[in-house]
Amino acid sequence: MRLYLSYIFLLLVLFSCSSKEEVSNSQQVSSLPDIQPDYIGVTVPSVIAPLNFSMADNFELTDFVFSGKGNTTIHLQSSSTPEIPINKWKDLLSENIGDSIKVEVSVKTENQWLSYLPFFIHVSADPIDESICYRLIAPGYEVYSKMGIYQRTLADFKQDAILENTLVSGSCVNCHSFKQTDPSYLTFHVRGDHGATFVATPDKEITAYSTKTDSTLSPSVYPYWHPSGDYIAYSNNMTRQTFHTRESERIEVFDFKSDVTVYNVKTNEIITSPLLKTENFETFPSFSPDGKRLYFTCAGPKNMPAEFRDIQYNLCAIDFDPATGSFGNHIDTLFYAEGMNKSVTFPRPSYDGRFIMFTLIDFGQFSIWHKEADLWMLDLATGEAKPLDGINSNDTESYHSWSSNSRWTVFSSRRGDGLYTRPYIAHINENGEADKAFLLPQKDPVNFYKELLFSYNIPEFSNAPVKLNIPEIEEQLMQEEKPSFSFKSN
Amino acid sequence: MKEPSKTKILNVRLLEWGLTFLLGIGVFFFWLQIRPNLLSHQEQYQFFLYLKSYFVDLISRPTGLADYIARFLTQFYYYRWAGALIIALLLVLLQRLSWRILVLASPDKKVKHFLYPLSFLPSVLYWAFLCDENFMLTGLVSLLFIVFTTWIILLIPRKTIRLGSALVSLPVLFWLSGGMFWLPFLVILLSERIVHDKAFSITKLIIWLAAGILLSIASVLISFNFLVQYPITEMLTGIGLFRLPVEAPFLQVWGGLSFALIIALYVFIPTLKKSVHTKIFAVVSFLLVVFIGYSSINKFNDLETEEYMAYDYYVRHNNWKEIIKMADENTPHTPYTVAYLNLALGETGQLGTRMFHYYQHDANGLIPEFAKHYVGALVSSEIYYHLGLINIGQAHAFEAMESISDKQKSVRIMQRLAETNLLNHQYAVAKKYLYLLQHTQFYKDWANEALSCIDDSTKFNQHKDWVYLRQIRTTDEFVYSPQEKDMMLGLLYEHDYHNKMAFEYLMAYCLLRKDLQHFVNYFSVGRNLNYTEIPRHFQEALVFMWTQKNGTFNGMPWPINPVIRRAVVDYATIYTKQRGAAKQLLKSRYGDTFWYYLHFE
Repeated sequence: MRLYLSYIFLLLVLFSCSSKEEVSNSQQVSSLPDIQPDYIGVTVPSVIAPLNFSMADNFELTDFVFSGKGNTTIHLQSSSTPEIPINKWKDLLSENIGDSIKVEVSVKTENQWLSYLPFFIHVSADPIDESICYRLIAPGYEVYSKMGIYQRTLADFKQDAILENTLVSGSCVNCHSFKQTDPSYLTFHVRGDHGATFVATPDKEITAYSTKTDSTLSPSVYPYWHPSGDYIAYSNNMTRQTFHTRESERIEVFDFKSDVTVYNVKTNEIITSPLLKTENFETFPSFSPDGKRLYFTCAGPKNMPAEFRDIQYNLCAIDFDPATGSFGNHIDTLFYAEGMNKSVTFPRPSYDGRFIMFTLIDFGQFSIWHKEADLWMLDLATGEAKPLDGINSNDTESYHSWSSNSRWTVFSSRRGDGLYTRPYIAHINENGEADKAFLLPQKDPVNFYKELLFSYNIPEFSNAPVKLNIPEIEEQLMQEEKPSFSFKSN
Repeated sequence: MKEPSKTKILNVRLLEWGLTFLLGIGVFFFWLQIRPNLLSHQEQYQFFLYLKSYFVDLISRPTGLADYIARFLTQFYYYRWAGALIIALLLVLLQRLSWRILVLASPDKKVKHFLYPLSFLPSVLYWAFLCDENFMLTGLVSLLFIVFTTWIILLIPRKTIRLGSALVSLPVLFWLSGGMFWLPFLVILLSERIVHDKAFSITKLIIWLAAGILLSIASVLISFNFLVQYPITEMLTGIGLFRLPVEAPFLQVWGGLSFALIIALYVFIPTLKKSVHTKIFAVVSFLLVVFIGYSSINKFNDLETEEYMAYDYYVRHNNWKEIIKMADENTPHTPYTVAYLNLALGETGQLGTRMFHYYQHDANGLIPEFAKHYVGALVSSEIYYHLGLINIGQAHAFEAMESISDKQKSVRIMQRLAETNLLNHQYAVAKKYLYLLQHTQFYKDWANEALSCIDDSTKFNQHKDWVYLRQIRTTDEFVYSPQEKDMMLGLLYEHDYHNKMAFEYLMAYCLLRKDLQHFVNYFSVGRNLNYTEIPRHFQEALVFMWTQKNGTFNGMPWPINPVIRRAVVDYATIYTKQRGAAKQLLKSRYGDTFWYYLHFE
C-alpha cells in the first residue's frame, strides 16, 4: 500500500512539475501581440477576475508571463487559451495596486520562438462594486426566446439568474434599475400577458404594479431612482419600429410620442409637470445625485415616422423638489445636440455630481441600432462636453452606468461582431477621462463570446447580491388584478 | 398443469418477436411514407451543437439529459430514413422494456404470454403523440429513462438495495428525465408488496411511500426555489417535452399512466389455465391495443400540417418543380402553402401565367403579413429572401427563430442568418453563426464552405444563387413599410431590372388586391424585361381594364393574344347575361383566369 502511495505521489510530483518548454533562442518581434480580447494597456480594478486571453492566430505553443513589483509571477504555456489561476492572479493584483502588471508573450511557430514587446495592465487603486447586472437577450426585434436578468460577480466568473422569462410563458423581462447601485431599491418590468412593473424598497415588499393610467401615454419605462429612494423617474413612450433595407443598417426604433413622469413610491402616485407633458418628445429621465434636478432628453415635435431621420434630442434638465414632489418652472438645455446635427440618449449623471455621460447619435433615440453611437462626457462644472475617446470604437457604444464611487463605467458595445452587444468596463479619472476599456473577463473568453447567442443589455453595477423570491414573483405575476399606479392631478 | 413443450415456447417467442418486428416495420414505414416531412420539420427547428456549453446549458435544468439525448437523436432526422429508424427503434425498445418489466412484475413468477400485446400500449401511444408536431422526442426518451430505471431496479436481488435505489431514483430521475420521475419508485414499492414479499407490511409501505413523497416534493421545491426558474407545473411534468409548454402535462401523463396501467393489468389478471382462454385474451388485448393505437394515431396525425411541411421542405431545398407538382395534384388552400406555391411559380417564371390556375384568396397568400410565430415568420422570410429584400428576410428569419415556442434555436434559420449576413458583408456576425454551424453533425461542411467564401471571392462567385442575390438585393436606403408592399417591390425592381420576380410579384400583388389602377400604372416599368409575350394573367388584367372604357379593341396599346381577346368577350357575355348561373359556368370555363378571381374570389 505504501509503495502504491509512493508511486502516486511521484506521479503527482511529476505532473505538478510538468515542465514548461523553455523559451530559448527567441526572436524578438517589434510589435505588440495580437490578442483576443484586447487587454493591452487596459486599466482594471484590483479585484477583477483573471483576464484570460489568447492569441488571435493559432500557434504550436504560446507562453505568457505575468509579473509585477511583488514576488508573484504567473507563467503559463498553452496551445489554446490558458486559464490564469485565480488565487495567484489575485495575489498579483493586490501586489500591484496603483501600478501595472507586465505581460510578456512568446509564441512558438515552426520550432522557432518569437517574443513580442511586453504590454501592461494597469491596476487602479479605485475600488469597484462587487457585481454587474444585465439582461441577456437575443438582438431581435419583437419576439423573444429565452432571456433573463443576471448578476455576475466581478471578482470571479460566477453568473446567477435574477429572473428568467422561463418562469412565465411568453414573457419578457427588462429595464432593471437600482438606486445608485443599491439593489435593495429595485424596479424592473415583465412584459407579456401577465406583465407588470415590480417595485421594491427596504421598507416595501416587492409588488407588481400595472403602470398604465388613463393620463399617461403608455406603461412606464426607462426607470431611474431618486437618490432618496422615494421616487422613480419613468418615461412613457409610444414606440414603433421599422426595418432598413440597406445592408449596414437593420432597424429603426422611434417614438410617436413620449413624456417624462415621476412615480412617488410612498404614495403610489405619478406626478409630472406641464413642462414635461408637452407636444415635445421627452424621454430617458435621470435624477441628479443631490435629487434636486431631473435630467432628460427632449426633441421638438415631428411627424413620425416620416421625419424619423430629422428628430434630434437635446439634453435638458428641470428642477425638482423632493420634499414637495414639485417641479421647477423652466427647462434648461444642458447640451444642445441639435446644434451639432446630433441626438442625445441615456444621460447618466455620475454619483459625485461632476459629470453626465451620454450617448450621441446622428438622430433618434434608440442608440443600440446606430453604428455611429459613441459615449460622451459632459463636465457639469465647465459645461464642456467631449467624446470619450478612450472607450469609443467604430461600432455602437450605447447603454452605460456608473459605479457607486463614479470611478468606473460599464457600457455596452457592439465592437466585437457588430451585432451582439458585450459589456466593457472602463476606469474614469477625476477629470472625466476614460482609460482603455476592457471586455468583461471569462474563463475562455474567445469561445464564450463566440458561442453566446445573447446580447448584454442594460449593464448596471450592483453593490450587493440581488435576491428575488421567485415563487412570490410568479404568484404576483399570475394574479389577474394588479394594483395600479395612480395619476396625481394638478 | 403440464409444462408447455420447448417447441411451443419457441413458437410463442417467435410470435412475440414477430409482433415486435411488425411494430418496428410499421413505425418505420409510417414515418418514412406518411410523415417524412414532420421529421424534417423537427430537425430544422433545433440546433444541436457538439459544444460543452450546449451540454452544460441543458444539463443544468430538470429533464436536461433526456432533452440532450432526444435532440442528439433528432439531428439525425436530417436523413428521413434515419429519423424513421430512430423512432422505430425507440418504440421497439419501449415495448420490449415494458414487457421485461411485466415479466418481472408477475406475482406467481409465471410469464403470462397471452398478455404480451399489452406491452405495446405505451409504444403505440407514443407513436401517436409523436405525430403531433409539438410533442418532442424528449417525451419518449424521458419515458424510456423511467422504464429502463424501473427495469434495472427490479433486477436488484436485495430488497433493501432495491428500495433504497428506488428512493434515490426520485431526485436523480427528476433532474435527468423529469416528467413521470416518481413512477419507478411507485412501481417498485407496490411490486414489493404484491410480487416480492407478501409480508411487506402496510405500515412499511406507508413509511416508504411517505419518504418517497417527501423526497419528490423536496426535489421539486428545491429546484423551484433555488436552482431554476420554470413554472412548478412544468417542472412536475417535465421541461422540453412539448413545444408549447402550457400544454405539456397531459400527453406525458397519459403516456406514463399507460405504462402503469399495463403493469396493473398484468398483475391483477390471473394466470389462465385453459389454452382457449389465453388465446381469447391474447386476441382481445391485441385488438384493444390496435384499436387504441389506431384511434390515437388518427387523432394526432394531422395530414394538413404534413402538407404544409412538405411545401416547406421543398422551399428549403429550392425544389420549385416539386412544389408545383404537388399543387397540380392537390391545389393548396392555406395561406402559407399558397404563398409557397406562389414563390415556386415566381422562381420558375410562371407567376404571371399560372397563378390563377390555383386557388388564390388574397395578397396575404403572396406575401404573408409578419406573424409572431415561427411557422408564419419563416414563410415570409423565405419570400423576402428570394425576392432580394435580404434585410427583411433576415429580420423575419430572426423573429421566426426567436418565436420557436420551446425556446430552441433553428439550424435552418441559423444557416439563413449566416447567408444574409454574408450577402450583406456583415462578415463578423456571419462568422459567428458559421462557427456554431461548424459544431453540428450535418452542416459543418456547408459552414466550412461558406466561411471560405468570405475571404475568397472566386469561391463566392461559384455560388450562383448568392451572386444573384447580392446583385439584386437593394442597397438603396428606404424604410420598409409592410402596408406599402407594392412600393417596396417597385423600388426593389427599380434597383435591378434583372429582378423579374420582383416585377411579377408587384404585378401579382396588385392583381390579388384587385387594384387594377396601380397594376396598369406599374405595368409600364416592366418594359425592361423584354417579354416576348406578356404573361397571360397580366394580359387578362390589361384587356379587362381596356374593355371597361372601350367598346372595341382598336387602339389598345398592349399586344393582347387574340385568344384572350375572344375569351374576355365570351366571359363578359356570360357574366352579364347568365346572371345566377354565371358563376358555375364561368368557374368551369374561366376558373383559372384573373377575371374569375376578380369577380368571385
